[in-house]
Amino acid sequence: MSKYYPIKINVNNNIYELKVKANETLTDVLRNKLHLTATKKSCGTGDCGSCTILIDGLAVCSCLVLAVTLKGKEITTLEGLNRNGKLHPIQKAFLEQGAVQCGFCTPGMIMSVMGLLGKIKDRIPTEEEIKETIKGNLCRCTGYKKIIEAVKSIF
Amino acid sequence: MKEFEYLKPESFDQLQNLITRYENAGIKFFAGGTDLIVQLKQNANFNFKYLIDLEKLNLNYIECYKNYLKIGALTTLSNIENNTFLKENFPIFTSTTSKMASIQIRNKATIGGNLCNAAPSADLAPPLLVLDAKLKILSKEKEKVVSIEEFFLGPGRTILSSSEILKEIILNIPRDEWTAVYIKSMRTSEDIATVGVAVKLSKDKDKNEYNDIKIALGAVAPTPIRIYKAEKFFLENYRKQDKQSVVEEIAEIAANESKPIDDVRASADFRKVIVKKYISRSILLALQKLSD
Repeated sequence: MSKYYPIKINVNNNIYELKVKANETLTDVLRNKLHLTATKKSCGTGDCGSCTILIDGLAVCSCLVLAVTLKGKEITTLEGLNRNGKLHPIQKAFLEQGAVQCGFCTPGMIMSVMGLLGKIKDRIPTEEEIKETIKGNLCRCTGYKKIIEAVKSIF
Repeated sequence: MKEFEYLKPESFDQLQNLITRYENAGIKFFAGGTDLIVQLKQNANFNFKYLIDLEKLNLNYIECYKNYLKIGALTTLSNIENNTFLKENFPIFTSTTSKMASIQIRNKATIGGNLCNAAPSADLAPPLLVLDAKLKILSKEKEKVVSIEEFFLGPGRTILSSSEILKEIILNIPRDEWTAVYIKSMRTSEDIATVGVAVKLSKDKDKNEYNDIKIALGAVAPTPIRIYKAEKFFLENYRKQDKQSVVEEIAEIAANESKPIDDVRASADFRKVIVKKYISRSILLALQKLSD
């Protein structure tokens, strides 16, 4: 008999009451239980970054997070970035700068950048900082150049 | 991933109760999860029924005192990387953690987890070995402090029993002039070290002589190791020979003391070549830093 744990998690400022098994990852809960499918599932081992989301403002690979550990934490996914249907400046920049090709890495990439923006507030990041920020997000399409330009363009 | 039950004690008393109650059924301790969850997904041969999350035990801290420094075992790599005191006084921590994985991993991974997972390539091990770290272990309500030199037993194995936890890492703040470097053989930080080299060099300012050197290697033996033979050679010979030949001989000693294996990242022979190069590089770098 599987044991289920009742949890209340805060995702994009919405509280969800769920029952999860101890071994359920946040990626699976987001995608399968909450139907928030912007967060992608790829390597499952924290290497590709496609599952990146923010927990209390810090970029984290959701594939390595057990949902049952999330009591009292604030989770932000790509779906939480828009305001009343309006895209966040970083989302607009990615589209305008051609930083999206197949789009698979994009949600995780943007969430890593959101982690950076939260850290630096209004300061302009250096190119090195931007590169370090996205180091944990693999992109097979763009060659990263336009992604870096998109980040620079919002300042 | 195998199924298990999840427990999150909120005090050390609660932790002890859970350990006593469930240790026979099989327990596993949980810190950041960045190693453990990967292993569970790969169905590593773990025999436990209860996962005990240590997050609420307040072990995420960096405390600075006059002569020593304490780092809680659950301090995240990001917290270590960004800590102002460490940046100014132990820059080897920032330079080492910035070479580990990625920001996403570092936001969850912990110093305790890196040590207790005990990969031979654990990046924090060589720096902590050359810094002579002491490790505080909680064992059945009793605490004991051991030197990090005794901690690792083999790949993935430490002296901890399944009922013990690493609580804290304690470091003396050196009084002499000193520097420490860590060089990691990698393409990017996301790589596991093919070879890791740490060197700590101390200088007696008044006598203007080097009074101590510590050298450690990672990823080239079943555990991270200190190279005492090379350290002794340096102290006995740096005054007698020119810098270049001393460094070359130390590099040779270190390569001979290492016991690397062939694996997916490199052959043993290649690792020995890299050990030699990196030992030279790190000692020369340390010498240069102390003469500035």
